[in-house]
Amino acid sequence: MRRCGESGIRIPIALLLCAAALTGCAIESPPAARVPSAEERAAAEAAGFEVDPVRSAVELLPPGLLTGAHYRIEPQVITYGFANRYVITSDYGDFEARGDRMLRTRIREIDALAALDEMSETAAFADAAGNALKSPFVATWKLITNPVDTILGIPAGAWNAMKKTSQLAQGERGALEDSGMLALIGFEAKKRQIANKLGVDPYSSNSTLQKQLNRFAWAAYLGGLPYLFVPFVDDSDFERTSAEPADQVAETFLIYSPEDLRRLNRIELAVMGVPEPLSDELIGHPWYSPRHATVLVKALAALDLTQNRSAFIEAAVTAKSEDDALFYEHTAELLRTYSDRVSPVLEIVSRDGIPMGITESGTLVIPLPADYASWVPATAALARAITEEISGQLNVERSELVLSGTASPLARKRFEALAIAVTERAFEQLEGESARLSEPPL
Amino acid sequence: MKRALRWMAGSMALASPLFVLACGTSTPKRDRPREVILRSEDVDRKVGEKSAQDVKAQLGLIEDAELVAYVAKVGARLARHAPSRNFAYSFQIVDQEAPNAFALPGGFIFVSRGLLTLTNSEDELANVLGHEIVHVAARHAAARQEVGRSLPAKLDWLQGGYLARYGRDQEREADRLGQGLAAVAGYDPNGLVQFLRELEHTERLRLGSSRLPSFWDTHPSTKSRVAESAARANMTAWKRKAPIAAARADFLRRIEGLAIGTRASEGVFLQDRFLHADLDLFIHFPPNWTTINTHRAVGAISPKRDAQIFLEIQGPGDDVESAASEYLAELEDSGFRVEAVQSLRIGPHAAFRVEGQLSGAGGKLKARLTWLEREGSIYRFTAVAPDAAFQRYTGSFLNVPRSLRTLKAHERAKIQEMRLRIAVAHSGESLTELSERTANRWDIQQTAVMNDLFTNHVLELGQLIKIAVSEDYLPDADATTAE
Repeated sequence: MRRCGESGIRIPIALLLCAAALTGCAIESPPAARVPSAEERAAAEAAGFEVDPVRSAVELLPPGLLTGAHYRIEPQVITYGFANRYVITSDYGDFEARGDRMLRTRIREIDALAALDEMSETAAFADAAGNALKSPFVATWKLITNPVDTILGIPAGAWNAMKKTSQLAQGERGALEDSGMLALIGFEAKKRQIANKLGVDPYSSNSTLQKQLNRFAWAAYLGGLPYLFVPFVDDSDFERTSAEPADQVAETFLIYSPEDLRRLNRIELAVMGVPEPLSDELIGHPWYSPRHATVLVKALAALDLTQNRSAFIEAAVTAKSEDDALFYEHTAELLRTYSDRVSPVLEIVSRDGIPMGITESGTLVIPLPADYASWVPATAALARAITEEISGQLNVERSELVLSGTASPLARKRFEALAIAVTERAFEQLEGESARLSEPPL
Repeated sequence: MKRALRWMAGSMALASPLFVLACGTSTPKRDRPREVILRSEDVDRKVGEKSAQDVKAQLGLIEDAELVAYVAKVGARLARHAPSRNFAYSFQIVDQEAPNAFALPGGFIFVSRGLLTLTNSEDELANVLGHEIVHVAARHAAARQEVGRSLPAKLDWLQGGYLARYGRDQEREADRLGQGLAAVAGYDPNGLVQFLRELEHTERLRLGSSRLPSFWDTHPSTKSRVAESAARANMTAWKRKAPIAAARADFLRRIEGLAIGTRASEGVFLQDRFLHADLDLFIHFPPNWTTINTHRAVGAISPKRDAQIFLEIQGPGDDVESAASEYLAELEDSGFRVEAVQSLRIGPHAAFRVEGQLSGAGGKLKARLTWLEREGSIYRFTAVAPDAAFQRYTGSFLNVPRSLRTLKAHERAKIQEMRLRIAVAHSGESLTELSERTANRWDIQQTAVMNDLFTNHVLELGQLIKIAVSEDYLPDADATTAE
């Protein structure tokens, strides 16, 4: 992956990525979304482009999701870098959700926080917390929770803390034999159980949630907090946005510790033919939580017949933010879904950090996690790169852009004019038997 | 005494989740929908511990300390890279003739002596163990369904369906990740290919053709597993680490001496006659009945499969009537209704007989149980048939207990067992020539399969070849444990 402005034959894609802010570009945090000015709008239109839309949340979301008992979604939604940017005001602070998938995560987390908040008022929790404080492991608790509390919010910090807590990075178990480490293993397992009951990710980058999960996990592990009953968030209003059924994902993160996930991923990567140093790079990557890495690896592992999966990992390890990690995670899932439902992907290629697949039928598949793709200069650059460079280099019959969300009518028209088929809402649309959506134009 | 109480596992193998050659346990043909595992790991562990005890009791464990330690070392090397969950993996060798490996919940992993005999390298062994570790780590067993049985547990002497099998998807996952685990631990992932190929060839020899998927068979066919594993092995990234057995010669030295086929220490069948040297026991079963020898019992099933009679040792004792009372009390829950009792003598032995009825899944069954005191132990014969057919088998049911006696000298002399030996080839020798020179009891095809060679292979000077040698039965030649 290249930095913004770096020159070379593949600059168009690099520019796209910078503009999209979905991958690399050496930016440590995603650029803030903003409403395009009238001048920008006029200039774009004059050049035959659109500007990313600013829409109403009412327009984008089912009414039931706009407000909840403990949150409210701000009415204006700016789309920027292919992602709908939502602002959520909640009893537990304000959150920005960059993308529809993140919105679902955050709403679920807010409901989980409310449930934990309610439980923290109970006598059972007070007793358990009191008992936990009397535990000889309380020092361990402080040792572990303090760095987590201070670092959380930056995923890398959270993951690194996780690694330290469970002495998990090197695959050695020796030091776990002492009682302090065993306590941490027990704590960590309890945390996963609680997160599972709440329907949230135990490795979430939401610092407020992490703090609460830690409190309850210690109270449950050391203080004997009884069974937690928390209703799952009803997410039936959401569109499907992942390849794996939610219950299977949840079960994986319930039953395996972070270290076990790392070991499983290392094994899967070996089977894919990923060299050990590259495998280690992904597994130890600061922006990939055990969850991000596992979902990505599982998606690639499902592409059993696909050659050159190392190319995907080479691209994935260039991630420089959690958004980057999510981009690659979702890209892998899109590719897997396409391979399962439409045509087997036989080979993976990567161009400037964007992994793509070549199918049995000779189609170049470009998976793109995007809530909404407008015809902006970056999109046009991607289209040009596909038609003028990549297709020719790879000698493919046709190209297909596979989006997790939708494309604007103009973007769709322009892509199709360039003989690039577009599949929208891929996770949903490709589920059915007759999954083909876009045939190449004649 | 423990040793004397154990019976040999002959043609009836404990149902194998993975590698057994021929098996009749039933699980549905199609893959089941994915099951969400509700059982906790604590339950897994307890179930595993209990089942491990059952395995030990039914199959027995090989006690060759050096060999067991070796298998455990290979297993531990793999386990260091495997998801460990909250339990420790353990590795043991079961005294089973068939090439078999299986895992129990909670990390208990077993390979059979038959499997070790078949393998030709540590890579093969590592891949097999890797496969089993994956079954445990992925908690495949938690989703298994136990096979229903028509007889009450107390009378289910075969326990053939004790361990149901895994689904095809689970087997494929275990193959894939098992190879990956072996690779990460520094073993050649082609070891699985090699082993499966040997297994497939053995199947061909035994069954005449490679086993095809059937309605009852949830395994992918061995042939397709070989192809898939080979493709995967070529793709897998791995780096060789020094094996524990330095070379093939070292590996073969470790497995040399393993018993092959039926172990004489567990009793042997010579047609319908059962000879047990350690128990100094002779029994004559009805001609043309299918004889079966498990660790729990020895018995026979009628040609129409509507009657069976089997012998178990209930335990130490000299009071047959008390022994009968104790057992009948245990049977109470199974609905067994006593109809007649009788004290008698069978030859020199005090005996006690009970007849009664019970209701099985297939209708009313009639059973005759005969307790017999012999050298401080209580022997128990159980004869079962449907009510309507029972009369037809009365003669056989009476004659089998009556045939029990000590061995005669010429019968004892016939008891031999085969052991794995390693022969050193002469330059240019054929397998046929080597077999003749070494009194190899395997035929040429079998010898070729066991050594992963073609039958017309021309041997090199010093090449090591596994052979089977028939040797006089020595009661203490190798120890096994069972309960």
